[in-house]
Amino acid sequence: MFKPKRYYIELGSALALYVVLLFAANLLERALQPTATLLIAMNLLPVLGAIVAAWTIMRALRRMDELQRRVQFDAIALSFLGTALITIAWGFAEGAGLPHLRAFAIWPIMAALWGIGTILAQLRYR
Amino acid sequence: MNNRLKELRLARQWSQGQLAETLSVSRQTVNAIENGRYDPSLPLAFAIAAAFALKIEDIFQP
Repeated sequence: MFKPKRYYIELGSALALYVVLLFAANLLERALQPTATLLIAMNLLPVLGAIVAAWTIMRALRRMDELQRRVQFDAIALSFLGTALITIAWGFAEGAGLPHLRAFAIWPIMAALWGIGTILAQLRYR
Repeated sequence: MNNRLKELRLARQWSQGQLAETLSVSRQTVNAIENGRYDPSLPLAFAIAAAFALKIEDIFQP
């Protein structure tokens, strides 16, 4: 069964791993100054932490009961559709002079909408 | 969907947490069903009926 406390510990550990790998990759890159394939590998090192975080979230979703999954479905739907609308609108607005939206900006948008969606869905079923 | 979950639970002097543990769901889920904000799936409705040793139609009414 889903236990929020355990989930937050696991997710926090995965995010800590991500931060450690991010700093380690930067340090190694400066120290070794690699090129070609090794440079790409070092730049991708933090993604390992992100994969662990994603796996933690998937495991949590599988442990949830049906109402908790419904809440997450509502929240993820809001996040998915909201991000689609924002990025499409931004893409059109770029033609009018708005700065280019980097790929790194997409996830924070999705995560913020996911959080807002979770709060709204929990209020609906409270 | 209307239900008698709260009435039946209180009659047995079970807390929401106890019932939730029996059903392997969260306490919030029991609360949402009792308040009519969430209609359980058929498997969960069967589990609820089994926990109270009643028929589904004795607990849930359309």
